[in-house]
Amino acid sequence: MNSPLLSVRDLRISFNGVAGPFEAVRGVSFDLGREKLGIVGESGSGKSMTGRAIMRLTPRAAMVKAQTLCLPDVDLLQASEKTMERIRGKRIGLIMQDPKYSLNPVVSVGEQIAEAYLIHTRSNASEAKRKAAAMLEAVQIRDPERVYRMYPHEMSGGMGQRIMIAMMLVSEPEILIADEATSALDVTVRLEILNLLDDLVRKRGLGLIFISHDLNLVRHFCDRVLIMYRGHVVETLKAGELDQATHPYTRGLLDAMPRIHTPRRRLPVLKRDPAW
Amino acid sequence: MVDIMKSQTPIIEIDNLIVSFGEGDDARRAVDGVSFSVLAGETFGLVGESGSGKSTILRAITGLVPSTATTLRVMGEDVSRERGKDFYRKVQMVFQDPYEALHPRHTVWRQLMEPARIQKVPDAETRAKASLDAVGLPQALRWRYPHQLSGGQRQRVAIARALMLKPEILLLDEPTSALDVSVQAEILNLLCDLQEEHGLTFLMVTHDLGVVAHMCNRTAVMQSGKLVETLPVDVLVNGGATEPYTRKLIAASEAYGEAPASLSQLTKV
Repeated sequence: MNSPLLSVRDLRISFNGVAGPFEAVRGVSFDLGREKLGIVGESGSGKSMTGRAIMRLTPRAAMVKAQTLCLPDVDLLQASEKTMERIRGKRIGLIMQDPKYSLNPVVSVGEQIAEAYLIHTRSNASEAKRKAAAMLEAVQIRDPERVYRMYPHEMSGGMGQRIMIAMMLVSEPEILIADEATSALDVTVRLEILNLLDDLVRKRGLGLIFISHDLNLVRHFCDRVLIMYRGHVVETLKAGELDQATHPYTRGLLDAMPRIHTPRRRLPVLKRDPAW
Repeated sequence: MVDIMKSQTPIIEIDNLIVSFGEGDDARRAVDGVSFSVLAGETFGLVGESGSGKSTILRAITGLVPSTATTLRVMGEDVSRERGKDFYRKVQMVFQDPYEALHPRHTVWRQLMEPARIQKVPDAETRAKASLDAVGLPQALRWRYPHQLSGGQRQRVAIARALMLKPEILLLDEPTSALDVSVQAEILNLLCDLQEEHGLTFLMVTHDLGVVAHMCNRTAVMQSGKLVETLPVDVLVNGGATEPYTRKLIAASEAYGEAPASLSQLTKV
């Protein structure tokens, strides 16, 4: 991989709890190139917190430390809040699970996309409107003119997520973080959104961080997968080689999933080793 | 998966079930003339995408939403209009999100005692202890509140509460979709054990065909309020579905199944 879009070395995020400091992320390291990088783990594994730290959106109480957390030209740990404002949404986009909570309920979706464009570029309202409409078309929304004027409550989940993708891509970021972006969608809609993401990431040469709890989904969608457990990466694999995973946690997760074609009487239950 | 059909006696019989929401021009049928029956001792799945009406069927059976039906019989009794106290003893429901289904300010113990109090069960304490054992929760957890439990523990409490009245039918509404896969495996195993031990009948709503394949004997496929087809699960997984919608649903699920398929192949479905 030549010159990564993002470098993370020994990322640590801790909170001061009643019972002393608690480390939610314990030394995560990876480089992101122009690829689809999956981060998989169960709830509480620190995968979302890792994504938030990249955007410097961790809660106030969180203490973030790292040897390196940087874009090629910006040290994300040292950057001022003002610099971060120019990075968030402009150079790094974030798509979350439920578009209902990410969109402003009282502004039409088209205007919201146009606003995102206006904030991050030197342009005017009519140019922004044109860009937003074009972006709606790029995320394969039928009848973009009509949808431009619609409000978030008039959208289905799949449509809302297309709007979020349009809003994040309109300012042409280098990195896109999708945090459980398709988890709330039905299987058929999920496929459409994944295809769309895949297409856009390839065409625009983005680096995508795809955070998910769904191993099967990630193995078919991503290029590379980090498996996280209790705040650290237990294994990094090429997505296609997930079947050759060696770590007992990864193996346990794969085994615990019900399978459509090879039914078993009982599902193997994960035995957690405190040493992991 | 249970291979043998346990009986041929229908325990739930539904014919032409209709649930409408809204009035006048806004009226919409969430469940539109659905008919199927569930046999005693089997696990019957209801699959479909969100908004297809599968959860509404469970709510209609229990009377949580008003419905009309030509036939709505549970254990031979007509429950289309009124449901006796006996109905609520024999039919219990487990919801998707155990955090919402449990009272936030009641201890585990009180959650368990509540149905027993309503139904005036004499040996409530013995049963509550047995229920905790049955779902594999230590007795020490009984003084905890829901927020002091993990997601898997909460769902166990919800199942333990459902078991308090020694029901014959459990209506399971996406019981594991809010849980991590490792916890899902534990809960699905638990449900299978309980079914074997107590001879329970499950009517299970899920969107996950992997879960259907693992748990169910037969399943009905729903699309926009209508039942598309009903078929044995082994036929479903072996490609025997006849309806295009069912085939599409399977193909989409297999995209992340154990049989690798490329995304581009699937768009052509």
